[in-house]
Amino acid sequence: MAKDFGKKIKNIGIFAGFGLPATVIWASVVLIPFIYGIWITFTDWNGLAIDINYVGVKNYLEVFTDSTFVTAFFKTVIYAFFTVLASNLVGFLLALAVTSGIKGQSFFRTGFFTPNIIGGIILGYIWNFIFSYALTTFGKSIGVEWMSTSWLTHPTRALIALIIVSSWQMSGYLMVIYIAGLTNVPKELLEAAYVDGASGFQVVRRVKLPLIKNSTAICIFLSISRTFMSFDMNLSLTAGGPYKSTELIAYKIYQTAFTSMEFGKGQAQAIVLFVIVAVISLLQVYFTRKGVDEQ
Amino acid sequence: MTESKAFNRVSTVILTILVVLAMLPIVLIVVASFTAETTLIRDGYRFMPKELSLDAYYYMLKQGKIILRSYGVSFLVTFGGTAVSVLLTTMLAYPMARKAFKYRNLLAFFVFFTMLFNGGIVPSYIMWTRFFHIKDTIWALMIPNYLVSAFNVILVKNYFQNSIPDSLIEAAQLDGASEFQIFVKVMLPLAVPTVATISLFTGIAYWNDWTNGLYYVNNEKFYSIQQLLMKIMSNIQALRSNSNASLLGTGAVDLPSTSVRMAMAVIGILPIVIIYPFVQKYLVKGVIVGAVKG
Repeated sequence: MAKDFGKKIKNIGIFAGFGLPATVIWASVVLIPFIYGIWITFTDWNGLAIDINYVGVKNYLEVFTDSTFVTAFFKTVIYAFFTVLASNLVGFLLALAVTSGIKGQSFFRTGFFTPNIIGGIILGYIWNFIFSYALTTFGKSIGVEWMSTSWLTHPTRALIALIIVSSWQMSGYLMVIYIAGLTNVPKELLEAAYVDGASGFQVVRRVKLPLIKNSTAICIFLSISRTFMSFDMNLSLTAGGPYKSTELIAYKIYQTAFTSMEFGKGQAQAIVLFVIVAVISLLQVYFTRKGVDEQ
Repeated sequence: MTESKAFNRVSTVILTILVVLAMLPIVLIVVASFTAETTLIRDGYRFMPKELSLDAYYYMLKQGKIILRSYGVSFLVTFGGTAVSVLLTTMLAYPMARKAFKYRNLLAFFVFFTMLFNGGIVPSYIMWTRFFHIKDTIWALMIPNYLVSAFNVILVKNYFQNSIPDSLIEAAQLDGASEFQIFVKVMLPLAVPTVATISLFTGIAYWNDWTNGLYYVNNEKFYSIQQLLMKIMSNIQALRSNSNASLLGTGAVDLPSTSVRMAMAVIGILPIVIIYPFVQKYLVKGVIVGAVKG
């Protein structure tokens, strides 16, 4: 008994010495606001008022009856779908290319990752400038109508612009994870496949893809959660405009909470968003895992 | 053999074009920052401007106090924040990676949970401003959001688990090393690639952050370079008419404003562009072992 107890203490000692400071900080940053946030959703607090009234589930009901929120949600789904698709596809193809043994691999890797080291503000500004000036100048000079006016002033094109810029940035990041997966594919296996007369495409489809399922799962997971939570690019590139047509869900929450000062409602929206993202991500992880096990 | 050589050459050409495309927006900004303002107005934006000028940079040098200060804030926050973050991340990852620690999976689950759920901005905002009073302090830029990233913790944990053999830890234990000594003398030195990787990720996040500034900082003294850029870019008109915020002078008309903004974007990216090539060689290795195995 005494020995067990001593072991337990020692065991927790390992944890306390290392994990404790970090865990306490983590808990205060994540757990306390999380619980506190749930409480806020049942109130009508505006962040300033002294008397706070409980309103039950009114905030949650309003989330679903608020047509602007539902619109923002569907916009986000469209944005997320295309961004996840494009960035994973491009990221994977780039990874394939830079692991194929061509010269200057590390130069290409560095180059493709570069968009990631540029922050939201500068990124938004650069692209704002490209869509508003550079592209329109180019469009006018070759006389293409849909390129002569700024994409950011057109509701659909502004959303497409967001998708393009997000994919441009995220592809390089996902590429690194795909590279990590591809370099782990045993060389003998690839050689064997080529000896058996497999084409390049077949090798990718039948050997590489199944063997990098782990990377794929991580990439899709990361890109889904990032796109659904996307806030700063939304703000710096379009700021929800034109006419609120590109308000994605995270931006909408920010607006509700800090512009309209409806803390309870904003937080209820945030919690609905978290639940949706969690469900989608867990489903995705579940199905990819299942795919891995079946191999 | 010659066929594959030709194939290599073709793919090199294609990749070069793609890299150029990926970098093009950045190149355009750099070129615009060196273009004379009058040329910008007359000819629009060109990759080969007719008239080059250093006016924008000269201008910033002259008005440099605000910029220099916010640069200092950014450096302080980035280095301080990254150092603390790397320490916390590795310390949190260590018990998760030690088989001797019984509750490691529980801890790992909690960390993973935060990738999907977090407090959300509203309660976080209230907590930091009401209870910790970090508004308009340097801490506001360092503490919220970036100190512990769940993804980084998982990267480090997997790296510890996959690339450091148990026998090494056991040997250290036999020699009488404490957990702390194992951590400092065995684990960390062997985890250089992953530490470099998370330092890069965290450093970039801190350097580029402006949302913490947006929420928690109103005092110009604590503007980071990104926040300064945001203020200037989003509201250049207001800034012009405001005689206190004298970055662009007071009500002068013939300011090289566009090229100045471009030049500010350039100096905003510069430090990362300089540091990045030195760290990037660890990047793939750190991610390979950390993210993909295990």
